[in-house]
Amino acid sequence: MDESPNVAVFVPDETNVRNDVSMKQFLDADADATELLYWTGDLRDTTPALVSALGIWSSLMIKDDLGTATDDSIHIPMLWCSSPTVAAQTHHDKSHNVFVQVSGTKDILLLPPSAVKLISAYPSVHAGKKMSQMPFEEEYDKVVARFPNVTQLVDSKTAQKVTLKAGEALYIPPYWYHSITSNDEVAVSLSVVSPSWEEALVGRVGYTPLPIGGVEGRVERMMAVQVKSAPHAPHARPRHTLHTRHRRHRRHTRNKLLKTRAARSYRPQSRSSFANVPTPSRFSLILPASPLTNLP
Amino acid sequence: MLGSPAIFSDWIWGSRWKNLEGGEGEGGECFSEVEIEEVMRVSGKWEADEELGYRFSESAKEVALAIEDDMLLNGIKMAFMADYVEQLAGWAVGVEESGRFVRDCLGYDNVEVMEEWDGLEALLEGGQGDPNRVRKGEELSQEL
Repeated sequence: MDESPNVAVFVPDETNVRNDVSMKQFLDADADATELLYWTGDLRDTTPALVSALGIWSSLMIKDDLGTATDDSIHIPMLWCSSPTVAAQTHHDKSHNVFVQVSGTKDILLLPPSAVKLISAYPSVHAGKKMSQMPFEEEYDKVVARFPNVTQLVDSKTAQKVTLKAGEALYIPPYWYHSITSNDEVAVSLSVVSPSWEEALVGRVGYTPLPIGGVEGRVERMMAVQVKSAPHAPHARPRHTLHTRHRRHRRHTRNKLLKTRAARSYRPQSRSSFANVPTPSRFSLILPASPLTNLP
Repeated sequence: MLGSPAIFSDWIWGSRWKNLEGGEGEGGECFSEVEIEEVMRVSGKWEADEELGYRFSESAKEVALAIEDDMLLNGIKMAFMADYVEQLAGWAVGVEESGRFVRDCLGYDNVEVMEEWDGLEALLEGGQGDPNRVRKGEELSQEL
């Protein structure tokens, strides 16, 4: 039923975040440039040195009971490079995701699948499917005005927030909603994506010869409400958002982009919607220090 | 979990469509049978595949298996079912109208709820299915 590509980047046209750069362009970019960049791809398609430096990924695969446990090709190590302040809108993925912070820090908000009742996801026939319409990065009061359910989400105490530092990892279970925001420096992350049995179960519908498989999300006019431009606040730092999600089929990793006319420009946050969400204890992984500095 | 068809469609509309452009208003009339038949005729959806009923019933069986799986979290089931309903609506009347279809055509409790998926197949093949297998959603709501 869902034929979305492995990496679908839901990029507003009017955002100043560029995602059409190569990894080399990203690494060569001037750190002081005002243009914000975002690159993602399969680690195995990068350089041998980087693949070697992050070889830990193969020990982070989660082998679900899918009858394919011996086939490691279904696990994908995705590399994510982003300029400071770039954020992935709240969304869910169907796969297991072991998210490793390689460089820089990221704020991650986690919500369990039960949040679906309140999270106001985009319709499945919309280009933003699987993502929440709630702009959590915006000021709380303004989010509440449009999405009263956000108060229940906060009050439910099911949300958790963590700041992931270099060398740390976070497991994001299938169908858990999460938003990921880079902090004040360039952030590099590795996520090891492994198919889940939940994904396989609901995916069986997609493998049946149902004639709705080709229904693609293109309800762009519906998006217009989401693009009301925020008033400029010159004294504070804006948040910039990308909407990302990924699937496990490697063949789709390149050049499959979903674009809409939408533009999202976030207000600087005086108090974000989840400012008071509790931070759980963290666990760490030992990673090679700054593998990117050793690139040939 | 999902409630009656009216409860579920009301949640889909309120949660996923209402805040989008075109989501204002209180709802209106469901598409008439003539309208839907016209959509089907123009798009050739009915005529294109003689085995359409079989295909729907096969996928519906997979949906039922997923929904009845005790290990699958309710939140996942809700997301999955909402996606499925929207995809079906999008197929039937086009993605632009699928929200309206969910709101106006599923948002009442007289939608027939099939207990056995074989009934759907029979219905799509032109028969009425076994009347003993069909309950009104209103009746289902009372049970829930």
